[in-house]
Amino acid sequence: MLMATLTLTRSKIILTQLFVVIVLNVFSLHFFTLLDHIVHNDLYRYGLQFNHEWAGQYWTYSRLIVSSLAIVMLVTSISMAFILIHVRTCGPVSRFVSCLLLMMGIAVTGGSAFFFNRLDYIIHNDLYRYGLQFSYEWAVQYWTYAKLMLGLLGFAAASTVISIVLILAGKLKQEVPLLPRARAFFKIDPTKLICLVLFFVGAIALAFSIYYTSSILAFIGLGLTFWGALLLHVTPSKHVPLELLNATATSTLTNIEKIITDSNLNGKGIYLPPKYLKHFESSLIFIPSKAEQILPKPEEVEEEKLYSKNPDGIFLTPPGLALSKLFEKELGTSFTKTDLNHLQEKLPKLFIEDMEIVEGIDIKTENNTITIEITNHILKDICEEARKYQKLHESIGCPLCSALACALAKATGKPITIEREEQSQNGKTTKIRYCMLEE
Amino acid sequence: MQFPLSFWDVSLWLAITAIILLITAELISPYYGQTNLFIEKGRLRKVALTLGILFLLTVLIRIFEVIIRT
Repeated sequence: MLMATLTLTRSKIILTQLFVVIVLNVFSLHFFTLLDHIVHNDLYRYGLQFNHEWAGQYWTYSRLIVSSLAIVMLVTSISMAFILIHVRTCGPVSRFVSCLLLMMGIAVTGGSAFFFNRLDYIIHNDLYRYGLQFSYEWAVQYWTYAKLMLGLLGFAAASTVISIVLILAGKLKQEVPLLPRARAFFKIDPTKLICLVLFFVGAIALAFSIYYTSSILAFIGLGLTFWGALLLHVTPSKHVPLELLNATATSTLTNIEKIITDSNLNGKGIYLPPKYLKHFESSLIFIPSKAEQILPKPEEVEEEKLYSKNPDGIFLTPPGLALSKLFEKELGTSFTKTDLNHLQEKLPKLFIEDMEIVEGIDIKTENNTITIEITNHILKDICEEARKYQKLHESIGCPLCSALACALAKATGKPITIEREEQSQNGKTTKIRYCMLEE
Repeated sequence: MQFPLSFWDVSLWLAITAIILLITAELISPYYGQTNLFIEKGRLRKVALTLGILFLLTVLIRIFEVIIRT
């Protein structure tokens, strides 16, 4: 356990160090561009004459330095990716590759220092042959930038060496058990990774477009940044496969069926309105033992109670209660504060657009009957499963029908029963008829 | 060093992006039965509308400039 924690901490240190290496290289590049600016602007004010002889050599070394720094940054980034893989797998290959890349990075850093040395030789020797006059005014600035650049390169190389030592000091898979937390910390979500890569590449392109005043780079940068951010924004945080949802719901339905069958109940389930309940936001079904729909008195109703003596029957929590509460949460209001017209107006948008659980919904009211027609709902499989339980299907309905009944009982303030639930021949449309009972 | 795109370049970019997003948001709407696409469609629609409004704002600024000149 301790060994695993140490591995995780070491990996964090290595990654931080490598990030610092990249930042140091970026700063080196910046100081080099400032130095280049002195040569290509200030030195002409001190008598320097342009000539392709010195300029050709100067440009070659200058390009080599910039390329070397870019390669170091690239190699370090790839090495970071291999370190992340190594943390997850603790394999020897990823460790070897990351070390090899970092060593390559040190060699290229050395190369860039060498090229800079050659470039410095051109400035401090060759340029005097082309009219350059020495002055502390330009020389002090030049030396400062040169020292800063070389110093940062030195720091970067030292930091890389320490990283290599830390990587080599780490243990392999057979020697260290990996913490679950370590897995979670380094778990890479490919979608997010792609979005972030798009975003940062776009941001870099934008920065370069400003530097080089390039409208093509600006359009590319703007596009990549925008699409990266947009994809990150529209990617859903979590989704659960429908099969998993169906599997979790089946056992509850079996239990309800068992209770109804065992209690020998023959009546239709009555969804009680809030005035019958102590907790207004809750829902309860009363299933009478006889077919006649006799309602219990409000004082008889107790949510904690299962059996009722007067009238004879049982109180059950509707299978669609949680679903109806989710509808309320999405709507931002309780069904108790709405009425049937409001429900007729808001439910289609909620079901189709906001929650995407149906493709179409139509609510019709006629006297005491409310008919809801649903097209292609995603809870089809659960409802199919519920139909196998005859008693449950007849008295309570499937979870979706039950959730709608809860909503109707709250909105109308009247007891609701599910009169009939029909499915079209192609199985796409479900028609549920609810009845509002007179008290 | 200056940002290479002019106000009208950005306006054009906004217009094209807004059109693409608005059409996409409409085509993937659940009203057309697209319930198996795992993206936050509401958020996409809001972004599309925001870009559309931003483009209209740039047009308004242009109109305002024309009125002031004349």
